[in-house]
Amino acid sequence: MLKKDLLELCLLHLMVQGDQYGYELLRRLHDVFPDVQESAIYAILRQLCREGATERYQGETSGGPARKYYRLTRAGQERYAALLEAWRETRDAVSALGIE
Amino acid sequence: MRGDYFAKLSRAARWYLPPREAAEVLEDYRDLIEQEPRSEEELRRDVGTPKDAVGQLVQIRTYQKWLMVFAALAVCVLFPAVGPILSRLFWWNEIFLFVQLDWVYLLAGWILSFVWFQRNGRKEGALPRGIFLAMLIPLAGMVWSGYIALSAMYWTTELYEFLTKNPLLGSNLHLALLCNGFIAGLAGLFGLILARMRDRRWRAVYALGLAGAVLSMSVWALLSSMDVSFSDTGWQTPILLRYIAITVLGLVGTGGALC
Repeated sequence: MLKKDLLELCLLHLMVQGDQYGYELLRRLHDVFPDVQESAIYAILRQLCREGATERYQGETSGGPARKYYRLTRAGQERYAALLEAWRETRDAVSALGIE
Repeated sequence: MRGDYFAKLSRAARWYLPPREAAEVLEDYRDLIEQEPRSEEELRRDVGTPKDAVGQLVQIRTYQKWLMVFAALAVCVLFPAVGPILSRLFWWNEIFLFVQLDWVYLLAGWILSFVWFQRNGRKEGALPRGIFLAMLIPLAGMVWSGYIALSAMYWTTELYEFLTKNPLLGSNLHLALLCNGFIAGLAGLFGLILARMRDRRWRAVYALGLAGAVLSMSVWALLSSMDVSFSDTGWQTPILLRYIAITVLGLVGTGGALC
């Protein structure tokens, strides 16, 4: 599993828990993977949107600038399931070698 | 400092990405940058350099397509602008064969830029500031080229005698025509870049720069090629009609681009 796939999985995982504010998605992932620049995470997020795995919409605001939220689509849920499966296989394979 | 970073990011996005995508990306990055005060150095560390940040979003095939269109449009406007200069520097007389193709540059540049920017360009609000000022440069050059062409056509003998008596003036006139075409070409290229990065209506400057460079090259060829049989009566008519057609097409193209 490539690191890009792992980041994609993490993004989708956060969105499975509910709609997410774009900026917060970037910050949360950047905090977990500080060596990955926010622009790289943003590029993955846009790619997910382009592929139809996620969609974005303007959230309601009280006074401030409109916030953009991201939500998972049906295709995104399928993608998430596939990536999760791939992640589990990778994790099991690595564990089988005795790497914890 | 954050403003500097965003300005650089904005330039990169508007060049590398299609207009609609660039606008979306810039909106997102503005949001990202404004949420948390960070210095430019911190932004470069956390987000990446502006070029890298945009580079990760580029779809290679879409960008390559734009580069090919840009190269074709740039050749259309730069060949008539630079060709005569190269001819003078390197005694490249074959240029006169290419001058006959002035219609090709003009129509290819006009049609390709029209089709591309109508489909892929962005138009926002009122006319961009400074566009009329930028249009004045090639327009003034066209008026000047037209004046020289008319002088050469209708006072041929007088002009010839005058320039024979004042060779330095003749040389300067030649040089001025070369500069005129070059400046029109540069204005056209400037309009082309801004049509991509700001507003598609900057294509008007490209259309006018293209017509200015082509007209200037044609007038330069008329004065330099020694190809005209002055003994024939009415030799001026086809040339004059050609110049009028170039001017009209340039002006129609400019008007169309402003819509």
